Amino acid sequence: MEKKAKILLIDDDVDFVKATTKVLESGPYDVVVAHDGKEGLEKARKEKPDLVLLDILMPLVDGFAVADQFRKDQSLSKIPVLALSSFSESLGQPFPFEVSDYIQKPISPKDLLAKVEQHLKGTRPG
Amino acid sequence: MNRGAPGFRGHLGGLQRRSLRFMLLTGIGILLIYAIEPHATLMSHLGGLVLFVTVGSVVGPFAGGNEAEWTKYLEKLVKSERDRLISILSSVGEGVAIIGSDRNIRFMNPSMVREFGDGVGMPCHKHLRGLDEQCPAVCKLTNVLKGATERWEYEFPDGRIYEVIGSPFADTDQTPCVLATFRNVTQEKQIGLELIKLNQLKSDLLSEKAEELEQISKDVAKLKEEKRRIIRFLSVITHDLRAPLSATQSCLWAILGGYTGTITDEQKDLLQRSTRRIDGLLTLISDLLDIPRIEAGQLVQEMEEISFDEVVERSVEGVDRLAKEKGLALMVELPQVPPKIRGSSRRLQQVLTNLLSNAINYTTEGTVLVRVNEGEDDLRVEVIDSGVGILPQDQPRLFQDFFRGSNVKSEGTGLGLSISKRIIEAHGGKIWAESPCPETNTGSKFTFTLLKKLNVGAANEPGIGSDKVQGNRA
Repeated sequence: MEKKAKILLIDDDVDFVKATTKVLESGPYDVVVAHDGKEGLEKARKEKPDLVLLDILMPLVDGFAVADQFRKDQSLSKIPVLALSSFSESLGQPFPFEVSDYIQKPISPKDLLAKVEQHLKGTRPG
Repeated sequence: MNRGAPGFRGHLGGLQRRSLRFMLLTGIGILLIYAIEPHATLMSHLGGLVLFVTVGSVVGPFAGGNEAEWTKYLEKLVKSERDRLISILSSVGEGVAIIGSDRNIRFMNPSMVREFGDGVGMPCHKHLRGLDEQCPAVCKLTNVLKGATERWEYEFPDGRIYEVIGSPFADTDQTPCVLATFRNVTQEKQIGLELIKLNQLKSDLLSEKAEELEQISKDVAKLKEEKRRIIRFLSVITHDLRAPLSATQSCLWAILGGYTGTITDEQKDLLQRSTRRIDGLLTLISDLLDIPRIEAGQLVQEMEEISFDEVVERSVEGVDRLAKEKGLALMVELPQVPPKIRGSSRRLQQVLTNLLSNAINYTTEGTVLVRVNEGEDDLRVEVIDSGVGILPQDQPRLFQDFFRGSNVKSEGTGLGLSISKRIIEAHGGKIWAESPCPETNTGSKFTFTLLKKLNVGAANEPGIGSDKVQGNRA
């Protein structure tokens, strides 16, 4: 049986996290949750996830700073980071940091799973 | 000086011949020196005099001749020289007066008489200033009588101002006198005062303008800061209003998608209704907060050189599913060479998506066409549908905030077109609608133009870089 991909979901919105975890766990994914940027970075280093879903606006360390750390940390820099935000689409100015993709909340379960699959395919051999 | 002449003659009788000859020679010497060189300095006078007297005293005793003839000749010479001096003084434009040590006026030249009237023999303060007491310049006169040269001004009650220069002068009777020149400087003074006033006015105006300018630049900086604050505030408000709705929507979608177990059709129907309402609310929040953001100039910060083909492609991709669901043909006509323009890719995509989804929503069968034509200075973008069209009475209000067509039932905020108009106008373009479409005589046609060379100075504000989110639109 193929090993499940590990997804780290970093978001302070517990309701969104609960719903999203349900959706992701329907696929071949293990979901690790962190509720702020600091915890997110710690879990990323410990768990070595295959993909990260990262909320932009969070307490303590926000998504910008986390994404920045991911790019600087050699052990993390290859992990695809998908930025999540409730900023309106029409705000959507290019964010001043590099992420693999940008997802506007809310995203339908179908679209979310498709995005995750697309970015995992890009990094996992085979 | 002419007044001194009788006294001069009075001394003649009691003098010895030699002394007389000596004195006459001396007098002639002085006059001759003046005749030769009227502007001679004191030293050259003295030098010439010494020379003349020496020669005279040596030559004189041997000259002999008739004494009466000598006297006559010398008197004539003295008179002619006096006349000459008087004529020189008379021709001077400035007023000249000689004032004795008794303060009485001894002489006035014609200019002086013209200015003050003839007052020879009168006390100067009385005649010139109409004062019974000594005039305020008495100390100056005293100084001049002691040998100093003084300069002072007389200001008369009628406003005339005279500059007076007093020099010591020995009259023919050897008494110390004051030779005074009077120059009317009223006009000069007035001009000078006006100049000073004008200069003051000028510097006042300049400093006033400088202050105004400083205030304006302060105001501009304040407004810019205010604008940034508004944009930030609106972003946060949008986020905070949308976040709970996003979470709710995610929960509803998780249930609706069966990720938490099966649900009944009735539950599904109610959940679907809920998600549609939340969708509407999310759009309304974005639209409402879009307007002030566009008006605060946020768009300008997003402008860059873009390929308009990509804008069209992405917009068409976004509505493709909707068109397919309704069984409509979605067609695109682009120029052979992809046009480049300066603008906000995301905002133009928002406009085109809005026009396309309207076209699809209000069309039940037929086609929706996007056509881009490149002109010399602008791009012309048309969205043509074969739908229900726009009622004539609705057309003038089509681009107003919250306006909903009276023949449409589909959901919407009534802000899509008014936002599109703001976006196009921020790009220096125009947008309008025609219904029915003049070419097909059915449906409607929306057209907007975009300037190819848009000159927006503040387009590159720091902090908002170019497209750093990669794969964003994939």
